[in-house]
Amino acid sequence: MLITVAASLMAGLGLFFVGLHFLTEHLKMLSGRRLRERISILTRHPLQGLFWGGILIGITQSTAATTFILIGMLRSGMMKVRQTLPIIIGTNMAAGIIVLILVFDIKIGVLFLLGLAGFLYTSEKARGMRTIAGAAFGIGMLFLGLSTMQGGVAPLANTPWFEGALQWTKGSYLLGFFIGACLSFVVQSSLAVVVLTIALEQAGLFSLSEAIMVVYGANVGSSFLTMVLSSSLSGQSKQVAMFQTTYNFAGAVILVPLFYLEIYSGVPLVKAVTEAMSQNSGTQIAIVNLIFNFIPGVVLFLMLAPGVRLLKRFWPETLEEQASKPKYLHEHASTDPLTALHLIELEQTRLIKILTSSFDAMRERGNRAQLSAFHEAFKTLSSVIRDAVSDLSSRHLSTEAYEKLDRLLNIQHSLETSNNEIYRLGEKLEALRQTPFGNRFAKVAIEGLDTILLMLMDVAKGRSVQYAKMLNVMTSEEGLARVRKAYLSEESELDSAARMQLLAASNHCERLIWLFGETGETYMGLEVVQEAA
Amino acid sequence: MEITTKDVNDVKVVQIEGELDTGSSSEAQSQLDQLREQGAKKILLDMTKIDFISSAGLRVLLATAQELRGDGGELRVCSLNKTVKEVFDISGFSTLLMVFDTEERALSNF
Repeated sequence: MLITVAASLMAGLGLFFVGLHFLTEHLKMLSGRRLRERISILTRHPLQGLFWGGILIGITQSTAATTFILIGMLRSGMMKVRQTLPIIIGTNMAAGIIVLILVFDIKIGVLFLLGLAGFLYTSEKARGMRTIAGAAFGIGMLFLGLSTMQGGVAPLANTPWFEGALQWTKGSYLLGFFIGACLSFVVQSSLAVVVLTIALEQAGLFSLSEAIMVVYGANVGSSFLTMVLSSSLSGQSKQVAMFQTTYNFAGAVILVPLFYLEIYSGVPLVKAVTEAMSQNSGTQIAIVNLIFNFIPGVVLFLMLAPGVRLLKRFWPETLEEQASKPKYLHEHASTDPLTALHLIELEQTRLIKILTSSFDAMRERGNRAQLSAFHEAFKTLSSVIRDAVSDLSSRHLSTEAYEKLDRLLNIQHSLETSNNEIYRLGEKLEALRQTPFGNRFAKVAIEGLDTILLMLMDVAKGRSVQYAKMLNVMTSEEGLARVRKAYLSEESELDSAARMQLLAASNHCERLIWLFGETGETYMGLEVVQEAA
Repeated sequence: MEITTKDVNDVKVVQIEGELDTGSSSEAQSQLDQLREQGAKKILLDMTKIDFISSAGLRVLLATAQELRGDGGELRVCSLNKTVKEVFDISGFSTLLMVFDTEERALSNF
C-alpha cells in the first residue's frame, strides 16, 4: 500500500505542477487588455471578491486548487495581489459551509473537462479555441493532480492506525489538535478528518470539546499542503500562497486560546454557541468547522490593507515581477493617440531594459532560473504593449500617426525576436561553459553584446544622431567573425561537439547584433516621422 | 583595482591594473574625469594589466573618449590582452576607439 501511496503522491504532484504551468501560459495568451479590464471591474470592491471566492470554492471544493488558480491569474497579469486576497477570504469562509451541504462529486466533471479540452486543443478545426482549451486543460490537470494525490492517500483514512490515532488523542486537547493537523496533512483533506471526527463523536468515542480541537488542527494541517506546494514560489505568487496559509493559522491563533478560556473558565464561547444552535452532534461539529473558517475571514478582511503591506514586506516583488508590470500603459492611460504612441515608446524602452537584465542573469554561471524569469517578464510586458498597439490601430489616426505606429510595431517585433534569441543564446552559452575555452567565449560574447544593447538603449532614449552613428559602426563591424575564426582555428582545444556549440552560439550572437542595428535604424526613422509631423 | 599615471610629453599614460567591470568602473571614471578637469587633452590607456573588461568598463572608455573629443582631445588605448581584444572586437569598439598593439605605436603621432 505504501508504494501505491507514494506513486500516487508523485504522479499527483507532477500533474499538479504541469497543470499550473499550462494554466499560467494559456491565461497569459488570453490576458488581453479587455479581459483584464473586465476582471478588474468584477473584483474591484473587496466584497465582490468575497462573493467570487464563495463561487469558486463551490466549484473547486479545494482551497489549495483555488489558491493556485488565482496564482496562475496573478502571474499572467490578469489580477493584482490586492484583488486575490478577498477572493481567498471568500473561498475559506464558504469552505466551512461545504461540510454542511451535500455537493456533487466533481471528479466526473474534471474527467469530462480534460477530455473535451484535450480534444479541442489538438483539433485543427478548433484552432481558434486552442488558448481557452489550453487553459481549461491546465485547470483539469491541476484538479487531476490534487485528486490523484488525495485518492492515493485516501485508503489511509480507513486504516486502523488512522482511527486509532484519532482515538489516542482522547483526553488531551493539544494532542488532538496536533493529530488532527498531521492526519489532515497526510490525507491532504481537512474535510476527511472532520467527517471522521463527526463519525467518532456520534459513536460516543469523542466528546464535543475533544472534537473541537481535532477540527481546529485539521484545518491548520490543510494549510501545510499549500505551504509545501508553494515552496518554490517567490514574490507576489508567494504572497498569495502565504495569505492562504496564514488564514488557517490566524484561525488557530484566535480560537485555540478562546477554547482553553471556555473550557477552564467556563466563559460561554464557541462550544456554548454550538450547543445552543443544535443538539445534533454532527451538526455541532460542522458548525465548529464553519466558525473556524469564518472568524479569521472577518478579521483578515478588516485588516486587508495592513495585510497587503505585511505580505509585501516579507515576500517582496521579485525583480522580474517589477520589470513585467507596465509603468506607462495602464487602464487610465491617455486616450489621445499621439500621447498613447509616446507611452508605447516609453514602455518599449523598458523592454530593452529587461533584455539588459537578461545579460546580467547570463553573467552568473548556472543562473537559468533568473534568465527564464526575465524572458517571461518580457513576454508579459510585451503582450500589454501589443494590446495597446492593437487598440490604437483600430482608431482613426493621422497619416503620420499610422507611420509612427508602423515603426513601433517593427521595433516591437525586433525586440521580441531579440528576447527569444537571447534566451536561446543563454542555453547555448551554458552548454559551452563546461570547458575553460567555451567559458571564455561566453564571457566575451555577453560583454560585447551587452555593450551594443546599451548603445541601442541610448538611441531609444535620446535619438541622437551621434549615438545612432556609433551603433551603426558597432553593428557593422566584422569583429564577431574574427573572434569565431580565431576560436575555431585553435583546433587542439575544441572537439567537434564544442565546435558545433560554438558555431551555434556565435550564430545567435550575429543575429542579435544585426537585430540591435536594425532596431536602432528604425528608432532613427521614428525621429524622421516626428520631424515631418 | 590600481590606477597609475605617468606623463609622456603632453600625453597622460594611464595604466589600470585588475578588472574593469561594474564594481571598478565608477572609480576608473572618476580618475579619468579628474585628469580631464586638470587639463589633460590626450589620454592613453595602457591595458597591459587589465585582465578583463565588461560592458560597464567599455562605457567608461566611450564616455571619456566623447568628452575628450568635445574638448578637442583624444583617447587612445593600447596593449590589449587576448580576452579584452575579443570583447573590443565583438562590441565593435576596435573600430570605435583608436586601439594600438603597443605603447610606442600609440604614442607615435599622438
